[in-house]
Amino acid sequence: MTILKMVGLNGPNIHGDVKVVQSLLNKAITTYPKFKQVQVKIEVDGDCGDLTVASIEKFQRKVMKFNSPDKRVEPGRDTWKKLNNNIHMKAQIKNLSIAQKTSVDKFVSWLDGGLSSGLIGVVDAFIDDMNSLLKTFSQSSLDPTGKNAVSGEITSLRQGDKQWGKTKLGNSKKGTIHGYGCALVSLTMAATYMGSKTKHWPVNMTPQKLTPIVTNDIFKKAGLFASSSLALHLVGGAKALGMEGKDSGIGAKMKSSAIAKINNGLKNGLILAHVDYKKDWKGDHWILLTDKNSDGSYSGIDPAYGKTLKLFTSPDDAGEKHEYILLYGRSASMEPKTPDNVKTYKVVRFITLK
Amino acid sequence: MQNKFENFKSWYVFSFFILLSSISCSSEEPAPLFEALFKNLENGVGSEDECVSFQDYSIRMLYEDIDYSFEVFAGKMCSPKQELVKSRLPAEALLAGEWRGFIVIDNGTGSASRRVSLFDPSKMKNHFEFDYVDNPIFNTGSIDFFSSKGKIPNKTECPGQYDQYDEWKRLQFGIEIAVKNRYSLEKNETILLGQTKCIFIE
Repeated sequence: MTILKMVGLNGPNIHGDVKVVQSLLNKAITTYPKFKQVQVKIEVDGDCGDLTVASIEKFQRKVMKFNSPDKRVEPGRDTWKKLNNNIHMKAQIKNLSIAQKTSVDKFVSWLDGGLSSGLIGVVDAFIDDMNSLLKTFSQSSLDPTGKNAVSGEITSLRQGDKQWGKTKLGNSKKGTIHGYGCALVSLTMAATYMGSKTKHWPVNMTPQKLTPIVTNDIFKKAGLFASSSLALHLVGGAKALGMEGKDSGIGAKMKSSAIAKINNGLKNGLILAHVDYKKDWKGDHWILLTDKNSDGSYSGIDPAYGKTLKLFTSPDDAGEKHEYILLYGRSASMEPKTPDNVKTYKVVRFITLK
Repeated sequence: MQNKFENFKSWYVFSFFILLSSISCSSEEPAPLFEALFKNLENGVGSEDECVSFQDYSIRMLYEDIDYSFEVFAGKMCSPKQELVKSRLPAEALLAGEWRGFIVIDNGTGSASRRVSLFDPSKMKNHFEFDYVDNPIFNTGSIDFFSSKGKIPNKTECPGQYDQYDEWKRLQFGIEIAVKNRYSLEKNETILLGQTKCIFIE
């Protein structure tokens, strides 16, 4: 996540920035017990009122241990870093690129004479964004998989997003992307990173611009949904998005020995994992695994949340071994690591994407 | 030539007025319908503030960070003064509609292993839950739904579904046999009806 300008007391308090900070303050309640003792969730409305300023102050006092909180969150400064510290790098890159595009667009717009605000502010925002981008470039070399995370970004998408959640999935008359589109949304996320144009794509569409609605149309054109149904041919879906998909086979309890194949797949691509997070081993959900990290954990994005999760092979990082592949997921919002905050994904099948 | 031009002009003026009238009418569009997820569930009326109003209740589900805030109000339009319940639902929850005074919540993210909850606003708790495959059918006093038997059929075990069977095979889906159940609201019990059908696994 990123903010363009300072948020808080006497700050410019740009609506979008304020929403980001309000959202992170709410997340911090679950992360920092001492903050939780003094703070309740605030409304994420983009309005920096007394409650938001007070919340920043409490965060600085309780979490940052400031004796004299300045009640401000500034891009790149300590309070911002602390609030934003659990967000996965690739997600940051994508959000950053959006912010950068905004200021670049504003700059171009100003050059075209279409922007009324002053030049200095626009240039400042542009320089801030470029600085942040350069910083991210230098961080990207730490990416444990060696993927070039700057040239290829994974866009995190949520099934229930208002932009596409109500869109009917495939040839279904009732089922929507929100209710049933986990596989399609996961494939879309993968394609924003490593997809390429095929004959079914709309003119001028690029992988980075793909949304679940566009993917849904591409799949329909390619005839990948069953008749009158939302059932999707997944390997065909990968192909229609310009990727190669290799299927491990119809769902079964995935033995731990198969983890080597997943690790291998993550070296050069992504893994679309069929998981079960309920009571059995049938497979009720699809998530996208993006990285094997140097600490042995995995990074992945769950389309139900549209968030990057850190996935562990044991619930408490103890390195516990299982006969089958179990991944324990936590997003930054699911801290601390109590059993209630851990979502267990039982892997029953996977498709290697490259 | 002049005549043709006059005709063209008339059509142009006529089209312009049609366009104007359509614009002026657009502000009077009825409130958007909340389309129920399953057949025979009550549809609702949606509003811009994410409120869905049914006959006796209104519901607001707002996604916040990792799950939904779930609010139920007496009457329509989600009036804060008439709030009955404020709770949380997981990210995979979806408002499906209203049935016999229950709020129907569908849970799931893909086509397999879905679960329906009948939430009773008067008791502020779930009245009944069931796991299903394929779409459940809400009758006047009962709900018919299929549950997986876990058995993989051959084609002859899918009578009346041969075309589907072939298509599912072509699309490389898994196929299983499911069996029909009926939940009776009056008796508050579920019985196995025994009828089977074949279902796909994506």
